[in-house]
Amino acid sequence: MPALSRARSLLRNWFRRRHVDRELEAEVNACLDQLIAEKQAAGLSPTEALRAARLELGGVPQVVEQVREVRAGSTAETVWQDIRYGMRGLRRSPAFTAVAVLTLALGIGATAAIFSLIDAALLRPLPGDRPDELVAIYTSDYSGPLYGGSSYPDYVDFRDGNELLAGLVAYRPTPLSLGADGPGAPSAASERVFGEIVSGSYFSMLGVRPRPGRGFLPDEDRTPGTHPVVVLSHGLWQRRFAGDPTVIGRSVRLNGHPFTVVGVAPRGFSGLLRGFAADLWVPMMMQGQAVPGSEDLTERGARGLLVMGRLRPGVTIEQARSRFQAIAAELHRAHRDSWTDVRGRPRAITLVAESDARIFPQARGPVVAFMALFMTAVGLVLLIACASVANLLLARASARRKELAVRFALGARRARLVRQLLTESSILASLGGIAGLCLAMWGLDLLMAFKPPVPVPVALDLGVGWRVIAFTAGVTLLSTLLIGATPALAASRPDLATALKDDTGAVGAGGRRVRLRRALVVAQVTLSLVLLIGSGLFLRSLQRAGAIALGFDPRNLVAMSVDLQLQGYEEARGRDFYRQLLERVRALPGVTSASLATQLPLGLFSGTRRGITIAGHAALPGEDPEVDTATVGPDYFETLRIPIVRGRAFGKRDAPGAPGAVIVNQAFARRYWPGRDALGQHIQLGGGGDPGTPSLEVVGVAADGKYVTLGEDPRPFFYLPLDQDYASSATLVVRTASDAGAAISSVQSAVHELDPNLPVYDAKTVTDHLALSLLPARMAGAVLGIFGLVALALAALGLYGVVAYSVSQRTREIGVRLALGARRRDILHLIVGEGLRLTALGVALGLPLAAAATRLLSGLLYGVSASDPVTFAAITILLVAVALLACSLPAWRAARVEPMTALHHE
Amino acid sequence: MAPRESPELLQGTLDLMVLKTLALGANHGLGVARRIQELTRGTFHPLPGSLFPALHRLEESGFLASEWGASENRRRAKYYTLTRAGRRRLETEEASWDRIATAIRLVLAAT
Repeated sequence: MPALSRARSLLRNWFRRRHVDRELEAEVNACLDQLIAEKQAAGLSPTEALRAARLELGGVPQVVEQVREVRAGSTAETVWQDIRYGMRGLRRSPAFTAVAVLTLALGIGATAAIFSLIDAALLRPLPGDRPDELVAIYTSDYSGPLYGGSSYPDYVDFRDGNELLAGLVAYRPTPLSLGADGPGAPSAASERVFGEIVSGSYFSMLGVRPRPGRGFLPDEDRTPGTHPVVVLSHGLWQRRFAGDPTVIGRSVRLNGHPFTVVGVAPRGFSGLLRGFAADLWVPMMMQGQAVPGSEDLTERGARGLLVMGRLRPGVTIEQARSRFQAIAAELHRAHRDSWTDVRGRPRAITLVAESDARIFPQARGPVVAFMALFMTAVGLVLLIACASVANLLLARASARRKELAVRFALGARRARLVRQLLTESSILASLGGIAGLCLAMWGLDLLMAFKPPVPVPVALDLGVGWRVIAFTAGVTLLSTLLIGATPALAASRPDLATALKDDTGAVGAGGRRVRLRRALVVAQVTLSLVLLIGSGLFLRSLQRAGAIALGFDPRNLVAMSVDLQLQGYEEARGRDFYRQLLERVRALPGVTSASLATQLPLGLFSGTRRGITIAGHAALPGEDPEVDTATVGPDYFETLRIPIVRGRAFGKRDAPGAPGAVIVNQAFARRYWPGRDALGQHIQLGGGGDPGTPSLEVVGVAADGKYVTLGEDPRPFFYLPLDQDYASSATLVVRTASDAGAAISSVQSAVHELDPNLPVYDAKTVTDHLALSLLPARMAGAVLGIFGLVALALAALGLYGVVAYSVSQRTREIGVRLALGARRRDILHLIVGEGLRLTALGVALGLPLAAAATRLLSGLLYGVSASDPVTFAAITILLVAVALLACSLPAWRAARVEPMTALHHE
Repeated sequence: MAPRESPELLQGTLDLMVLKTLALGANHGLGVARRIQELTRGTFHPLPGSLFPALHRLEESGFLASEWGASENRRRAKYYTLTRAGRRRLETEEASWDRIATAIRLVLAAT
């Protein structure tokens, strides 16, 4: 009741302030009149009565003011006053305001941008209903890692009779060739898109409601091959069908088969794999038509499906885990072959809450490490920016000392002055926050426009949501405190006596404030040194990468990929196609050789591993039973210029049906046949050592190279001949006599002439392909480099400000020195020395800090140690040089002081 | 002249005395001051100026209502009356004051 009534008063006081004030004044005046009358009645003369009444009441304006102070909303009123006062002050010095806001915008904007990246990758839950009930369900791989896929029969066993789950979905990302069909359809050629093959429960279980249209019906999840339906993503619908609502019911071709569009997924839903945008969804029962040759739905040992379940309300993930442990044990009993890994242990089922499974668990570590690195970097930039602005505010406070001292002397309370200075800081920080958010959105737009050279559609929804806005608001508040606290405290304790005197020329005045400013500059130098050394290490790492021996010659090579299965080629037709393709491409002018491979070395996201068995080799404890491999066409080693150090390359005699041949690399030979000749040895594919598997003879040993990452140590690798190990998708590699980039289109058209409907994707030079493996280091280097330069600029500005201020304070002193016979060079040394001392202190603090911080980077660097002395030395020299520049400008000005003018300077 | 109690005690007690005074009948600011002086036999001599903040605070909290009227000597004055919420407030304040007074008396009576 009192609260309600006070709230009413608050509104009245706010909106009818004039009326309320008049009323109050009338009341107090009436009281005064009464008092006068009372005094007169007691026998005082009118003048005496007025005096006595005034004395007793205490002055009408004072009483009115006292009442005003207790009135509801009085705090809001003073805050509003402070804001107006602060705005006026900032408008009066536009240059200061612009620099401060821009500096803060940089700091806050960088932080907000990185945070929205983190938000999109890790924090934002799946769209759909109650994502906190979702759990990702992984079956361990045969070779051991826990987070593997499951088979369709596994999925059915997980789903049926499981009382702890409210629903379960299975999904599998896959590339598809999308072509339009029917009259009026856009005449766009086939396009390679990524989609998800999903169980019929997909949309309903996730709570994602396609509109227009619908999700999948239970009927469409029963019998293989009967319901050719597809749901499109919002993005694909917009891109290819211009958002036309009549697309529902229309027919499209997926890998050559007609499918009917039944729905469009809502905007912002792009499938279950974060960072990987699915363009369409096809029911699992249609995978035979959509993706010919995909693994059998009845195959118990398949591992292609990812599974996600929804816990019933009230069921904990621990309960579900123990239930799934029991299921794994049952499956191991019932299907011993497919539920035993290569080491003979039962395969395991692992449940991970949705919040931890947004990034695939195996990739989560590096992603989190990168995000932490970026966040640390922007955190440092923010700190430096705040130190910069605090420094500016301190300088400004020095200039305003007299004003503050006067207000203090006139009775303003200290708390009120501090509040006022903090209000000014928070206006600056808020402006900086808003500008920073705009800057962040702009930067993210740029980032989204940048398409990394990867063969899958990488997409993160980087929209600025409430979480980003709340975070930015928090950062803004933090900045307010960081920039406001020191100047406010320093300024609110003015030494009245000195401040009121005209002391601009006095030596040593405001000593504490100057010390504070120096400390801030030292902190800036320290932090920017740390940032710069971090980015310097990544740059060194990139520079070193160019010198790493790849094991092949990447110059003048063109690569592009085809997926024959997408167009329904069976093996015989496929082999024929490959043969003709190589013939045609080799005949092109400027082409010196051409070959095929299932994958190129150093593809960041691709790579095949196979289990092998070698007679006489007992697995060492902890040894990885799977080895990286590629299947390659004729002339592969010649085309890539991979030296064969023993034996021979694959040739005509390794035809289908001929004795199985394999080429291993030197690391492979060293591991499995140490001290012996690898030539003529035999290996079997598959971990089981099944006597039915044909034995392959080692016909050659290739030189070691880099296969997965540039930083890797030599690792075992083996090659199989494409003729004996047919693969329906392959990458064509072509060596040209000169510029490879120019040959891309002629090679592409050679493929098109063979089959105009076959999508050719991922066409690039191998040099560009290699850029992919450098992508993490390049991105880290770019981000840290940009932030490091910003930090350096801010530190230089701060240094300049402090030195210039000190010069202006010491003009008279300098004049005296010159008059007493000091040379201009001495003055130069004096001033530059002051700046360099601060820099030296910053460097002394920064070097050990950087050494500690960069140790955390060692996993992300290659070819360079985290405490690389060259980087540390070079960055220190760079920083000192910039500092020297920043100090020498004011120092030069100081040295040109005319003694007479300086002495007259008050 | 002014009451010399600590401000904290003063605020609570001043509110209580204002409420009690107005419970005896509607009054204007100066009247309330005079009434308190009279009732406390001069122990408290609240200045009219210091009463206004209390009156307005109590009014904004809904314990008092006010309207203009004519004073004894035929001058305009703002009259305050206790609202129903104010009456309830007085009761609880009185009760809590009694408890405090009893407690303090007990402490002082201890030997």
